[in-house]
Amino acid sequence: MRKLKRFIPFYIMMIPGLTYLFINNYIPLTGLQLAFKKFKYNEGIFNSPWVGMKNFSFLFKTNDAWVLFRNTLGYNLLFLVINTVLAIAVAILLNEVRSAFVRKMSQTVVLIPFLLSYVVISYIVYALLGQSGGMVNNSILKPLGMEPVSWYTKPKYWPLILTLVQAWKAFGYNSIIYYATIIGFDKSLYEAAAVDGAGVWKRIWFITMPMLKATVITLTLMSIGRMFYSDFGLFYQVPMNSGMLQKATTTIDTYVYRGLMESNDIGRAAAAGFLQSILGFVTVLTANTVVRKIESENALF
Amino acid sequence: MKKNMICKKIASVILAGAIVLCATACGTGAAEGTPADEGAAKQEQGQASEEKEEKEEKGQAPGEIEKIVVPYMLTMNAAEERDKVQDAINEMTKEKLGVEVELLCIDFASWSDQLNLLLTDGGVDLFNCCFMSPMSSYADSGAVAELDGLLDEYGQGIKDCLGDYIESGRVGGSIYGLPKVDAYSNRPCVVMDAEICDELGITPDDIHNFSDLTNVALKVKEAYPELAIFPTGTNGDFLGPIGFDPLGTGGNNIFGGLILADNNLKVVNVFETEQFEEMISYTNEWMERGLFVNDPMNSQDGAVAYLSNKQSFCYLGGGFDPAVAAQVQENNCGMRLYGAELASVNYATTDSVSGMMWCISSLSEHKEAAMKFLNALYTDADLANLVCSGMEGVHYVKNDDGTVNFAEGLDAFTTGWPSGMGTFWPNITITYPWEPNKSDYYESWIASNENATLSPAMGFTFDPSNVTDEITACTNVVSQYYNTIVLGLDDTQTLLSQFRKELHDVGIDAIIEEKQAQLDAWAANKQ
Repeated sequence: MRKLKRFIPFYIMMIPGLTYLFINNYIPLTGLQLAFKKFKYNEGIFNSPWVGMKNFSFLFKTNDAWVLFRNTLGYNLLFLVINTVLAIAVAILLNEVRSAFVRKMSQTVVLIPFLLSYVVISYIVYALLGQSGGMVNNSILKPLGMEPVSWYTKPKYWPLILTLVQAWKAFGYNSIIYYATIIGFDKSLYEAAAVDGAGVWKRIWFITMPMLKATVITLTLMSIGRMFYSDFGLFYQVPMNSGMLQKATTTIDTYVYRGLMESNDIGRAAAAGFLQSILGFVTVLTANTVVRKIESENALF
Repeated sequence: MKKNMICKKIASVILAGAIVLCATACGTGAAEGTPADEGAAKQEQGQASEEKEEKEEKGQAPGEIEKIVVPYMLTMNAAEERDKVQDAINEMTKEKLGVEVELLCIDFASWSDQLNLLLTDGGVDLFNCCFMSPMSSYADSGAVAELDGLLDEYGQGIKDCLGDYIESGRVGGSIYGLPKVDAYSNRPCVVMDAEICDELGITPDDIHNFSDLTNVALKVKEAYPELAIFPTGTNGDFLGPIGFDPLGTGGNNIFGGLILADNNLKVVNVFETEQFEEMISYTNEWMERGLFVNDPMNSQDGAVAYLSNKQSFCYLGGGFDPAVAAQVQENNCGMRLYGAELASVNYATTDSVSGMMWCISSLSEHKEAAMKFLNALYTDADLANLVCSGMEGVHYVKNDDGTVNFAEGLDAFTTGWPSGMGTFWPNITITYPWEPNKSDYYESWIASNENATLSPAMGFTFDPSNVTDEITACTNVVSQYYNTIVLGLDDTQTLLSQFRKELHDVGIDAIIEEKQAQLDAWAANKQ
């Protein structure tokens, strides 16, 4: 009881945040019913007629249904692994930098790509890969005596290009999160290891890595929840909406956008979003169960 | 203990994330405020909604002046003198109609988003359903009101103006939208740089089809090897010479249409016609001979921009008269232009008539007032002049021959009421034409309607609600193949058969059948 009293000020401090959460994240849940309705402007959300699962069918009535899900899931898995490895590597490197000036500067510099929008990035990529004026074709392939490549018509290159672009944009942000965790580690552990004769690599491998495990699991579980979403900017803007790349670049989000742009169909757009969140929810639950089976103390819940 | 530590870690991770997110959020917040005119437009919207609320609170006693909100599209420059024009409109309408109008300025770029939003809560009363989803989809989702009763009571002037063309706004049994008075018919044409034509001795009479155009293009390419002939070809412009009625699925997404030359009601798969193949063979040849701009797939600028920057020789477009199609672009481009036809017949279809439909929001509380005002826009020349051209003596002055020009010291960029958007309003044909047009300029528009060949399906509006899944799937297939095939960037024959096969697989036949069934029912009903 006394404990509760002590925490009252903190609970009061929580109120604005909780109100915000409630208004912003919970009230809109009522809108989920739109996924099962035919939305009528003049009747509003609650009075529009129910149509059952009809809004969902368009996602599966295409030859590419499995390509959509494969691309969305495949890219996300790839990004997850690459982002985590890159971010940890950069965070450890940042932590090993001794000069305060260089460290501060690097922290800022790695964040710059994250702050660029994908529209800007798509033009940077275009400047590199453009057919006639692109840097790769003109300044790299030509001097090497190789044939220029028509990048925007060859889907086979794009899994690599998209992965590189995504990793370049995201690594800074992720590494700052890991870096913040690493600087919180007890320095005496490292000192003791150094006294015992452990070199830099040994210290990283046997101290930093094991201690980072909990953070890695947390962040991974959180991104698994968004497994069925894709960054629209990355998959639509960066390939310049090039039709020939669609086998390699189309995801659930771009399919929905291309198909519904004309018709302004609120019900089917809501259905696509609903399906994505349900699938995400299921994968998070599954992943968390697996984690709990193996290492119960690291599970989210 | 261990659990606690993990909690802390989670908290620190989330905090770090939140901080970075905050930083980015602030960044975008600051950036949004910068363009001054956008800010002004937003402010005006704010005002509008405040005033609307006020009005709703007070309630509306009968006989009082009713206030309606009408959004207005801004393209090039802001309407700085909106208040003045609005006052002048209200001076007219308050007394005559008992209607007060609030003009809501919305930037072209955000037009469709803003209007979709405003429609969900009744933020507008009367609006032009252009550059948005097709009017029929708004009718289907109950966003726009049925107009039949209102038309009978307050819209006699509109009925007289539109005649039979009023039918193009019919969805199911009722009329939901009213087309503006316009030159409704179209024929495909090419607009060319006149100086180069003169130099090489090319006249518009030399060109009547794609074959002639190819010869001219090669001649120009020979004289100007560095100049591209055609700009980006990704906007459906090449389809014009096929001469088809798209029956409500527009752009490149032609899922079944009528071949107009056949003059019957048989819906065919346009992608499988000889005409489509013929068109591809031309565009492929142009690509092969290097007549397109570099990298046409990724060219993002509008076709007209290429011409005015002297980066291309011509572009393909449409108009009721090729010469007029060229003339309307002359001021935009700042150069002399010639227009030549690519087909000889002017066709009018439901789609060509219904590009700009005036609708009343189903959530509007002042539908009668909106209809009264709309009727006045169609019939009252003073009011039409005011919305299309601004105020006499302030924004424009009248010439002796009945045309008008900018008031002294003003031009297209400095005038407080953008005049280039006159075609946005319901009836520009009763206003004074602008220089350098002749005083009978708009009469030629009306005359073109009388000479137009009507599609046999004129007045038929397709209701897509039974085949929406198929349309979504086919739209994706088109966006995957269309440009590549038309521009011949890969093995066209292989891709074309793949394209056709995939369209079959995802259900283009179901769309065509549905169209045919609806069309037959419509035709039977008409007789």
